[in-house]
Amino acid sequence: MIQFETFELENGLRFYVNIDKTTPFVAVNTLYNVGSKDEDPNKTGFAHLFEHLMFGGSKNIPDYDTPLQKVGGDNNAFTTTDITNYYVTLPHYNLETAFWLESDRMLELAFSTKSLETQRNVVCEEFKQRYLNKPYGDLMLLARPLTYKVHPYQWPTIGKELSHIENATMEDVKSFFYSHYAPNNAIITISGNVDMKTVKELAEKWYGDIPCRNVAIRNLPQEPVQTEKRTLTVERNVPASNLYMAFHMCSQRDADFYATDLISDILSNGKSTRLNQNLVEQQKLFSSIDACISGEIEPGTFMISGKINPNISIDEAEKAVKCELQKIIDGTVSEYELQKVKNRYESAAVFGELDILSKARAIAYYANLGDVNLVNTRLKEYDKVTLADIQRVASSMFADTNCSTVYYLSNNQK
Amino acid sequence: MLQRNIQPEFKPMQALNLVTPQCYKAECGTPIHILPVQDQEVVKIDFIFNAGEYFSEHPIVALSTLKMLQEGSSSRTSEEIAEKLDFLGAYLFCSMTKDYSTISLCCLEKHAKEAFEIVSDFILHPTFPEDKLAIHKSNRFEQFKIDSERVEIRSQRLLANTLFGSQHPYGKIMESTDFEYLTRENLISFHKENFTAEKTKIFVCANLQSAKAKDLLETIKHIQLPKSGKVQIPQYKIITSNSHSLRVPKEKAVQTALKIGKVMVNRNHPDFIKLQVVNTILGGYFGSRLMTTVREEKGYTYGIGSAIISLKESGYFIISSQVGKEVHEKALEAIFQELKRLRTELVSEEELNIVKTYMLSSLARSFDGAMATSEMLLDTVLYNLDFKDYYNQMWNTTNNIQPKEIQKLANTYLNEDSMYEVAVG
Repeated sequence: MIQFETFELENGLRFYVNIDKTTPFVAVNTLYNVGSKDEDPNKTGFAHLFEHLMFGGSKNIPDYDTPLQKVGGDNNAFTTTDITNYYVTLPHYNLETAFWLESDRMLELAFSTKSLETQRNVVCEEFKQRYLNKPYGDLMLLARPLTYKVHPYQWPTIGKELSHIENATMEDVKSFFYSHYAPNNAIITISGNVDMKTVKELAEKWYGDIPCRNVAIRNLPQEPVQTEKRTLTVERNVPASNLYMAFHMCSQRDADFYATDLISDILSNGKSTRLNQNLVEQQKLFSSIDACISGEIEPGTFMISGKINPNISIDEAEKAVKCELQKIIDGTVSEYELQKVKNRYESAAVFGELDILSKARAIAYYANLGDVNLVNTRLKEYDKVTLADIQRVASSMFADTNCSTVYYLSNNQK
Repeated sequence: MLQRNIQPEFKPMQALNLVTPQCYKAECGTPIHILPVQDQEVVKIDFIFNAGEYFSEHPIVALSTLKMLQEGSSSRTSEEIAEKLDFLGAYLFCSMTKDYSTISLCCLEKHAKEAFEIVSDFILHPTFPEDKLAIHKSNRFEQFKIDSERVEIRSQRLLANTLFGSQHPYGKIMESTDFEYLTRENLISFHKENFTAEKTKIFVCANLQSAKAKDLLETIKHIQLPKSGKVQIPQYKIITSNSHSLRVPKEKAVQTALKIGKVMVNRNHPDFIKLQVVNTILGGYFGSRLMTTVREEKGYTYGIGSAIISLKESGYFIISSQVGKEVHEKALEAIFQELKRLRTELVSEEELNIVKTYMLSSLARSFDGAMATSEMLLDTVLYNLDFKDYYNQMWNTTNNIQPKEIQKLANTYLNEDSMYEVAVG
C-alpha cells in the first residue's frame, strides 16, 4: 500500500507526495503529458529529441547537471509514445535544488543553438546504436506502421527516420515547448524523507509563478478497426528467423485491460507457462518466444515474438503459435493456471515498488492515466479477472483479421 | 523577488550510517550473511558459488551447469520445479561472472520457505537430464550466434582476449566448437567439484521482525551442502597481446564499437579506491570528461564510459563506446587526448569536488535498502574485506584525495601508451 497526499497549484500543476522516513533520500518525478503520439507525422522523434534538449540549460541556469551533482543528486529521463518523464533523486536535506532546477526548465529553456546541434547528432547515434546496428534492431520500425495505418503509434519514439531529427529547427523546438511543457500539463510526484509543509512551501515558491499555458488540444486520429490479415516479409543478415505477431488490444483505461495482460502472462510469464513449455521445450520450434502487451495508454498491441529454430519453417512456427492462441479461446485455461499468473503479478508488483523512485514513478503514471488510486487498487482489478473474461477477451482479440505479422527471415536459412 | 539564477543553499553529504550485517554458519559450515529489510514482506536469497568460468576446464560448461540445475532434481522434474516456483510468485535469476555463479531468489515472505526448499533441493540433487540438456544446448547455440553478431559483445570479448590471452580463463573466447563439451558427464563433474559447502556463500535479505522470516532463517541453517575439503584456486599466466591495436571490419555496420583498456589492479590492492576517483573523473559519470567531450561537445556517440573492473585474480580498466563509423578516428583521438590530459594537467578543485560529491552520494545510495546493501556486502565478503571498515575507508579516501595524487596515479596506471584498443565495425 503506497500512501500519498495531493495538492494542486493555481496554475494547474498537480503534486503527489509519499512520505518514506526509512531512507535518507528523496525522489522527485516530473511527468509531462506529451509523447511521440503528439508529434506531427512529418516531424517524428521530436518528443524524445526534446527530452535531450531539456538538459542543455534553462532560462536562468546554464547547466542542469553540474549543480545537481554538487548536492549529491542523480537524474535521468525517458520518453515513451505517451509521456516524457524526468526524475531526480537526492539527499533529503538538499531537496530544494531539485525544485530550483526542475521549475526553471518548466519556466523556459535556454534554446541554445549549440545544444540543438549536438543533441541532433547524439540522437542520430542513439538511433543507429539501438535500431540499425544490432541484429533485429529494426523490427519495431517495420512492425509499427504495419499495425497502425492512421494512429501516431505507427512510429516509435526515436522517430520514423533519421532525417526527421536531422532537419529539426529551433522554431520547431520552441513551438513544441510552448505547446506541451506547462504546469497545467505536468504532474510532480515526490517520494522519500520529506514533510508536507516543506513540500508545499517549496512548490509554491518555485512553481507558483509559472504561468498556465495553452496546451495543444490532443485530437488523435482513431485507428480504424482492422479488417484483413496484414503481413510483411523481410530478409536480413541475422542468424535465425524471427516471427512477430501483433494484435490490436484495448486501452489501458478499459476494464478488459487486466484480462488482456493476464493472457500474455498465461502464454509467457515464467518458465512453466504455455509458449515456453509447448513450443520451446516440447515441440522445439523456437529457441525463445515471448508474449507481452505494449502497455500504452491508447489502444495498444498484444505482441508475440520468437526466434525460430534451424530447419523449422516459419509457416509451421506460425501455425503452432495460432494453435496455442486457439486453445485459450477454447477455454483450456484452468482456475489453477489463472491463480498462478495472478500470484506472479502480485509478487512482481510488490518488488517493482520497493524503492522511492519506483514509487514516485508509479504514482505519476497512474495519476496521468486518470486514476491515481490504481497504484494501490490495480491488484484487486487483476484479482477480479475470471476464466470467462480470459476466454471472451481472447476470442475477440486473436482473430486473423486483427493480426499484423512480420516474417523476419534469416538469409542464412529460410 | 525569487532569485532563479542562484542555487539554493545546500549541505555537504552526511557520512555513511552503515548497518551491521549478521553472519551465521549453516550446519554444513557455509556462511549465511543477513541484512534486515524494513517494513516490507519480501525476501531475497542469493546463493553465490565459487563456480565461474574460471574453474572450468572448458569455460562453456560453467554457465550451462548453473542454468541446468533447475531442469530436474532427484525429487522433482523440470516441469514440476518451474510450475511450483511460478505458482509461488517466486522469481529466479541465474547469473555468472568470470569468478562466480549466482542464483538469486526473490519472493514474497509468505512463500519464501517453500520456494527455498525447492531451490536448495535442485542445488543439492540436480539430475541434468539428457533431453533437457539437448534443448538447452540448442537454445544456447542460437543465442551464441546472435551474440556473435553484436558488435558490443564481440568487441568486449576481443579486448579481454587481447589483455589476458587465450590460455587464461579471463581471456578465452568461446567458439562454436566448444559446444561439444556440453555433455552430461562434464556438467555432473563440474557440479560435484564446485557446488560444495566450502565454495558457497548465502546472502539473505528479510524482515527480521517477522516470525515467518525467522522460521525461514532456521530452515536455511539446515542446508546440507556436501563438503569438498580445502579449496584450490588454479593459477594461470596472463599473456597480453604484442599488438596494441586490433581492427575488425564489419560490412554494413553504421557504427564502430570501441574498447580501450589494460590489465589493472583489483579490489584488494591499496590503490583500488583512489583509482576509482581517477576513473570517475575520466569516464565514470554523466558529467565525466569523456561524456563531455565525445558526446556533449562533439556528438560522436550516444554514450561513452570507463570503468575499473575487479576480478578475483586480476582486474582491468576499460573505456567503452559505440561511435559513428565515419568519426571513428576522431573519436579515438579525442579519447586519447583525455587520457593524456589526466596525466599532464592537475584536476581543478572545482571538478574534483563535483566528482567527490557524486561518488559519495552514489556510495550512500548503494546502502539505501537491504537489496542494494546486499550487493555491497557481497563485494567485501568475496574479497575478504571487512564490510564497515572497507566502506568507511572508501568514504574517507574519496573525500580526502588531492589533485596531485590523482595526477600521479594517472601517470602510474593510465598512460595512454600502455592502452590496448579494439574496434569492431
